[in-house]
Amino acid sequence: MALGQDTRTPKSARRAANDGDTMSVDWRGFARRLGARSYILLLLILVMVIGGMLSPFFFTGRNIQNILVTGSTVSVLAIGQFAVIVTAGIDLSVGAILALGTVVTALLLEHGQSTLVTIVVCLALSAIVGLLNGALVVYARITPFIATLGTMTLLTGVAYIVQSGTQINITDQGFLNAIAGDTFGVSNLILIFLVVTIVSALVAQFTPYGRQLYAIGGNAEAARLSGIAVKRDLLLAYAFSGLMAGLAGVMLAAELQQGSSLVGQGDELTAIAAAVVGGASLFGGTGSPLTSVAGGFVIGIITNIMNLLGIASQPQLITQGLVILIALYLTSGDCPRLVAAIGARIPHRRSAGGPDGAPSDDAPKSAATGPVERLREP
Amino acid sequence: MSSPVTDTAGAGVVLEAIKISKSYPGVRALSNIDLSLQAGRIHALVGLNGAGKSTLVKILSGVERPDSGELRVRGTHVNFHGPRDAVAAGLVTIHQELSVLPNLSVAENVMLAAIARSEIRPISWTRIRATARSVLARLGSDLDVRLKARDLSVAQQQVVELAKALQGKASAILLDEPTATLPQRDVDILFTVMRRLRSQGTAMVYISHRMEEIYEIADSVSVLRDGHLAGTYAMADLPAGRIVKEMIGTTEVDEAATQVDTGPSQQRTIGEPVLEAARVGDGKTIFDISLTLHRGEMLAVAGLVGSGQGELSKCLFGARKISGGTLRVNGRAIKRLTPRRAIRLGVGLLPADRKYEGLILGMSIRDNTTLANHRRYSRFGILQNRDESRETKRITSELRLKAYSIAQAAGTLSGGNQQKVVVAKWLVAQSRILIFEEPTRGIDVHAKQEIYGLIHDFVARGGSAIVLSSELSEVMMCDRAIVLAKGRVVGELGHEEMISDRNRLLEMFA
Ligand SMILES: Nc1ncnc2c1ncn2[C@@H]1O[C@H](COP(=O)(O)OP(=O)(O)OP(=O)(O)O)[C@@H](O)[C@H]1O
Ligand SMILES: [Mg+2]
Repeated sequence: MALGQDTRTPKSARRAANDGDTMSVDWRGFARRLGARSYILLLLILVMVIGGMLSPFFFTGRNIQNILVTGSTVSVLAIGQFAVIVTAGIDLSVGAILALGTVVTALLLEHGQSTLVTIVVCLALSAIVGLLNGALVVYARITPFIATLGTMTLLTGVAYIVQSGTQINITDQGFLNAIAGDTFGVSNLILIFLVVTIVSALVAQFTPYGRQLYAIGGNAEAARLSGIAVKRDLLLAYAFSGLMAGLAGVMLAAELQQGSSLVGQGDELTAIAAAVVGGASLFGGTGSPLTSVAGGFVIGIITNIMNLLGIASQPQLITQGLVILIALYLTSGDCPRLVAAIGARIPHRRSAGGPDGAPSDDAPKSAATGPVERLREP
Repeated sequence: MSSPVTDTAGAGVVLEAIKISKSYPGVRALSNIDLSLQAGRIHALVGLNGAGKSTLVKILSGVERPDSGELRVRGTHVNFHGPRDAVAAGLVTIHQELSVLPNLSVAENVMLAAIARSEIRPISWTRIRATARSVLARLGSDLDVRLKARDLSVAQQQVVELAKALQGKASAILLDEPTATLPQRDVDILFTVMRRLRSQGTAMVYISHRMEEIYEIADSVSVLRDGHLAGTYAMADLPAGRIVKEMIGTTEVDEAATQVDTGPSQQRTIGEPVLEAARVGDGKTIFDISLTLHRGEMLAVAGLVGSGQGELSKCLFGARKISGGTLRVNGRAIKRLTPRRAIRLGVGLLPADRKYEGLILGMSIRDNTTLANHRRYSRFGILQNRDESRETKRITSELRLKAYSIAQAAGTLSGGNQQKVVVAKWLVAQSRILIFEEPTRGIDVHAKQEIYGLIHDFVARGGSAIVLSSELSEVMMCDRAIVLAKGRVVGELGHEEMISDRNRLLEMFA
């Protein structure tokens, strides 16, 4: 069947009649795509239910606030990480940038800088470091893994030297209130994370830049031949990741009321795990900021539950590792293909959709990027 | 009159597919397909883009599993769990994307299976080479077995694959559009090899969109239409044109649609030069190329695969660095052309290699279609999804794209339909100058006309087109042709000359 000239459902016809709207954002398509990724939501609900069953403290207001506050910095990191991962890159330096961010913040405040100046300088510095990562990848053509491994090591050293002591305590109440205080009873940390999440989800979904990052990750050469400024977009993605790491640094500094070169160790891996559990492929082109955040919370909640149960940290690591592997299997392993295959066997139900009515939009996508397809390419 | 070949389940039947069905989400790719392959016969599989040919091959080769139906190899029921099983049962597939291992030698590639099964042990390179040489000799090839596979031409790689199949004692070989990327000379080589294999008793499935090839090589043909078997016929008693009618479906037979239009271009006004290259070269594969494209003109760059066409078009589009010469667009000399600048200047490039250069396979049809022109579809920095969808639906229905939804990932489309998405992308990008690399490679007879029609329309409305092609009929529909060989311009002909002096064109081609 050819598109456009066939089975026009009344619904799509009605929508066509509305085409005169000035802004015509495809919210329905957005919702549908979200729905197709609902497994991550299901996973999230599942771990929450398990949490509720295992511990009476799980659903207390304090614990939930706790989960959200801890999740805030992780989510911000994960969103930055996602912007790089979607281009088929990786940013190992975010944990180190975060640490440096806390140190710089604490240092500037200690020297009597205002809250605003402190934040602006810290964010700018982080973005510049991110830009440096990008330049190493784009211009020096170093693979992202190695390039950001290098900056990670370098920055850890810098943070340690700048700090020149064990840690720097933050006493500036204005700063602490601005970042970690409450607004209408909700922690500002949570509000910051919500704003960042919403904005980046919208950018990823509805702006040319977002679409271009997906395109670059999907096929950089085809993207270049479509006139996309691949180098510029990549630079921006790394700069954004750095910026988010810096923001997470500011947030963590306020939360812990100190700057320390020791925080953030291994956070880059948590951020990567969050994005990947959220369905982002390390080969690029898939996932979304929202699901990355959800992925981060799946991991965070499991940690929280184990803390509530008083499990020691080594068994925690084992459980966490297992959970990441299982979640990965569910999101990017053979499982989606399996589901798609089973779905395809249910006769005719799925073929009922018109040009844009099929509910199964994303199923073939996962099939296309499955191992079979990839193997066939020389 | 043609008569359906009935299932002669005799001793000669190598492979039988019985009532095979396969669905993908949103589409029933195959329903109740019966197919029977006889030893020493070449069976063609034809159908429009998306008819289900590749899907059937994937099932026969164990890449995909059917939803229902049965496969029998020499009368016994088989169940393929993967490509290995099919190979073990003697079915070898040559996919359109070749699978020779580029870093291994010809001998190693040919003998790969035997080496892997440790048949030759201890590994003796002399024996491996000798055996490989003898297998190649059976195919009439005297290829140097020590060459690395990556240094071979596409045709030579195909011969290596066939030799591999032969060495593995394949009783049936499935070829999915092997000639789509082959120059004519190499098609002849392939056919010679296929005939030899046929006389040695190998059964073959042959897929192609070129009807003349089907008539030349096949003994019988199955026509697929929309996943259904429209009929199976012996070639001997098929009148010309019948296959195409069956492919399209008897209801919409349209004589004009089945013939390649080589008629002279209508009187168009050819305007000022829009794209000029003066002594352009890249220092490696193309040298000293000068050409001028005018407004409203269709210029062919004729040349065989490997003559430097692809490199030339990339240079004209700014995707490949030029080492010498100058480029002018709309009369202005352009110093450092990049694809991005080229697109801004109204130039578009439709690459021949759609998988690696044309499409983002994981992205939807819609997102691919609008990729080269995000500016046009965004307002205040926001992509207008609805505008994108409307435009995509319009253009894809014009191109008769077969898909169940424009949200479908481009990678799940059939080969020809992927090509249509690339065409769609540049048509909606509002380019003034389009460079087509092999515009109808892998496109079915029906859609070919649509694409030619679109190029004609585009030019008639004041656009300009360069068509880089190795197909004579495509070259001849242009106003003017430049012939390329070994990276240099070897001749130029006007439309009248091409018609009156066809032989000269052919000569220059070879
Ligand atoms: N992984 C997949 N997911 C969804 N649909 C698919 C998938 N693979 C193939 N299809 C669909 O199955 C149908 C048959 O495709 P197939 O590749 O077999 O066509 P074809 O006859 O080989 O066409 P062409 O001549 O263009 O190569 C098409 O509609 C295609 O979109
Ligand atoms: Mg095909």
